[in-house]
Amino acid sequence: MLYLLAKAAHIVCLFVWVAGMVAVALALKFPVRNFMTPLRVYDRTVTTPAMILALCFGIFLAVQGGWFSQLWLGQKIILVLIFSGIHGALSGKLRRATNTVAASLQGGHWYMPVGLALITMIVVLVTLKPQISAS
Amino acid sequence: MTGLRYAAIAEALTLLALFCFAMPLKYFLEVPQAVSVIGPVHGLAFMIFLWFVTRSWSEGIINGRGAVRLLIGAFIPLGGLVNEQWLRRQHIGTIT
Repeated sequence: MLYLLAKAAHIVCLFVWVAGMVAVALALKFPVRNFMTPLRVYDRTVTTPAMILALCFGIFLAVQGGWFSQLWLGQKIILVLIFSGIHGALSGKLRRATNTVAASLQGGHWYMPVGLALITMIVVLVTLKPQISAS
Repeated sequence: MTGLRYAAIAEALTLLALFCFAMPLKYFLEVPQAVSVIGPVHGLAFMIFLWFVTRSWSEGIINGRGAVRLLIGAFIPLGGLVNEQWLRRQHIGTIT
């Protein structure tokens, strides 16, 4: 029961995290004056805690489920590291953009497609759980 | 900068706990429970540290060379604490 509750919480946190990242990516691509500051507050108070909680619940699930010996989990962790790195990059760009809107227009067009590709690979790995033992 | 420094300290301390406490318990005294507790905690600390590094790099607080330095330091015991001192000096340098 606890495992399933943690799984539900992990998925909810993931939704909030991804939604926050999409909002930041869109705001950086199509900057609107007076929107960056509230978005920065939202990123700090909602999206980032959701990311940390998603990581906490994910680690809890891996420990409880005994998944750490599975190769797919190792692959998933690498993808999650890259994904959280993209969120870090978005968050940093947003913080810079709150000071100057011009800075937000430079680059950053790859965040959405790369993020979508990573999420797709993560979901496929978690759903199929290819049964190859790492040890 | 403050968040990055705290994340570096947390990552360094959990890595030290893993190397100096949990792993000796596992391999010399055959008590694997400590690794199964501290290991995931260090994993979480490392992920959050990586997030802070990419955010600080993207924000322009540190440059690419600084990010690489921080990442290499994260794999060396006490490297995180050395990097925290470096970050503190950088921070003082930007204020003065």
